[in-house]
Amino acid sequence: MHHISNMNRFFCIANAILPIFCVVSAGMFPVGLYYALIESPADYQQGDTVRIMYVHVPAAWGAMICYLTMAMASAVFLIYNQPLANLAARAAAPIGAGFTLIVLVTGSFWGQPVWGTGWVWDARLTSVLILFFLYLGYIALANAFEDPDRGGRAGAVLALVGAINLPIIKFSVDWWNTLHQSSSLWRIRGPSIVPEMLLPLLLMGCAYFSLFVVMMILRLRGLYAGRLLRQMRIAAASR
Amino acid sequence: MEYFSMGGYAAYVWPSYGIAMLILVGLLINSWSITRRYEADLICMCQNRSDIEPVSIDITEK
Repeated sequence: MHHISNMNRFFCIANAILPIFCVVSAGMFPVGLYYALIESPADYQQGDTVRIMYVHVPAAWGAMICYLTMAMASAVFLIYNQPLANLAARAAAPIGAGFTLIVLVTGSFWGQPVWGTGWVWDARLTSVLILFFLYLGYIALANAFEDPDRGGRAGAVLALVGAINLPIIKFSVDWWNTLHQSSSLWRIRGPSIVPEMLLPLLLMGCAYFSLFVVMMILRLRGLYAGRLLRQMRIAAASR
Repeated sequence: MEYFSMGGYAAYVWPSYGIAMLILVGLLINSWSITRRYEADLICMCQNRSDIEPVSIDITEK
């Protein structure tokens, strides 16, 4: 029974914060896009292609945060059998797949003028492609079973094994000699990026993150309602 | 018009923004429709079956 009181308390809090994140997201996207496309300067080497960074990099942060959410929820589900954790992992997977697709496509559009190629099999690009396939694999596996708990457990194992890919993505640019540049923001000596470019990047980061929270809450509500429906149909059929 | 040419890189910058926004909007609509569909179905089912209180149903599979 304690699952249910937890569930009610969770959705009370989630529904209370949902409008806040809706407003933040709806406000941050126009402001972020204005700074990204108009207010920020062109790069002295890359010209206006640097503007692709403002949709590419926050999507990459989002893709990583999303996988972290999915992996942690999977661990909680496997250890404590908490049903909400199963739903959280299922909710995060399609969002993460979408974010990763943005990273891959915009990266390709950025690579063509700057590197002279839209794709290379270097460590960073390949590990992000694997991230995309991990998301697709999770979705396929979690939905491949009649019993959603069994599917969730199988998916959770994949999500946890695949979590090894996260540090590989993060440090690939340091460990290997990649075509992809290393991080300009998360450095020990502080960001090496000028404030005029840092501002739109952070604004777009906030916009992506608040949208992620909104979509997570919506999906969790939908999946929870779907689970209740399933329970009621099973109960009705066995009567 | 000068602005929209993006210093000659319009063919790379605008599609990037277009595709990114398209995917984000698609994800949001998809998230919203899942919620709306299941919650509407649930309300219908609860109205038809007044003997069932949805809150009292445990979602863990036995």
